[in-house]
Amino acid sequence: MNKLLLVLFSVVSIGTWAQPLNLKGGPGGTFSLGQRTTLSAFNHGNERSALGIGGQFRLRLSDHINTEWFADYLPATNDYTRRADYHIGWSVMYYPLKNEGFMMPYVLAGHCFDYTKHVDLSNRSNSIDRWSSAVQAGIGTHFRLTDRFDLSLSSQYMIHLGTEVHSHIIGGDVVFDEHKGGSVEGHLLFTLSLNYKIVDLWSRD
Amino acid sequence: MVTRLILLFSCLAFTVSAQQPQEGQRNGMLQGTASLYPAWMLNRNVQNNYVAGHLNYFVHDKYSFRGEIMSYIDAQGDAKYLSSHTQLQAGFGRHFPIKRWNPYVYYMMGLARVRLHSQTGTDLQPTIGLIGGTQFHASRFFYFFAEANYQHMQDPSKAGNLDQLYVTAGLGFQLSTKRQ
Repeated sequence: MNKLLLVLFSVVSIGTWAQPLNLKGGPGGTFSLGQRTTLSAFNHGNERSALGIGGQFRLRLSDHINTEWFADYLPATNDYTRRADYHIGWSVMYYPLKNEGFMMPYVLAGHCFDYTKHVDLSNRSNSIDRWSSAVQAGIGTHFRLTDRFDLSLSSQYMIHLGTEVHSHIIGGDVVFDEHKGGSVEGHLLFTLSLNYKIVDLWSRD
Repeated sequence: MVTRLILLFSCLAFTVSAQQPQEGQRNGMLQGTASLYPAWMLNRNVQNNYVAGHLNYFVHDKYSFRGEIMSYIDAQGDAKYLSSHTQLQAGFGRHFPIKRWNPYVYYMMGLARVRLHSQTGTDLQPTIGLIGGTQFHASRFFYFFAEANYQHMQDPSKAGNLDQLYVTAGLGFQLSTKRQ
């Protein structure tokens, strides 16, 4: 019964989500939550593009600076292997324009940790995985649909700083190998995200 | 306890007193429904049946968030491709309210737990989808709806896609959570 009461009270409390956001002294301090779809175009020849899902939150530091903290899961099934990438990281976004119009373009750059696992589809015990680090940079824009709600579209290039793993078909068998050292070979990421501003953390009553 | 529940429901009913869905007012409205979804696999000659439920919450008269859970029941015929499929997804919708009518489109993204009929293992597969449909607000608390739902995801076992087209219609429940 207590759970039922909790659910009913939750229904009442979400009414506050539909209220306008009262900003005190500018957009700095705005905290938002979002979900995202990412298309990852891998450069390596025998790998498909990955379609991923993830989540993020943003904490805006000032009129021109925002930060984005994200986690993504990006699997791709190829002819003989399945590759899954897990990204967790952050980016700093810079808004070059002063106005808060319908479109708000930005440049962004950041860092992430990356876990990759490759498995052989015909023998899933044949696999390879690795942790690495990466940096990413790109451009994007928000489309402000309401005071609280925006769509964001960005394009970034991600470069891995650690090892890279690939699969090869040798004599009909899947063979994995790991390349040591950094490489400019990475992947191009296109991200579409939905974001909702929850609260202005800098506000003072 | 029953008295407390009656009191709570009375509070909920009070909050809806000023909203007029028939005039296009939607902000703060919470909707919920469940329905059966026949589905056609677009890359194979297989038809499936699903049961699904979703919640919509309007953050604006023309925008809402939607959360949804879908679960595979069985194939409609002897041809089967899936063994199990449960999908959790969320997204946002743009509404075009015209008095009691409410045409809409949703962009959805989610995560599916899929096991193919030919396999024993289960995979987690991201999905994206587009939903188009319309609602008719029959009263302050009920609405009818009909929609088509296109879902795209990659096949977890080989290079290829597992796209499906779902259709459904039914009755939903709604109430306003916005304080007037």
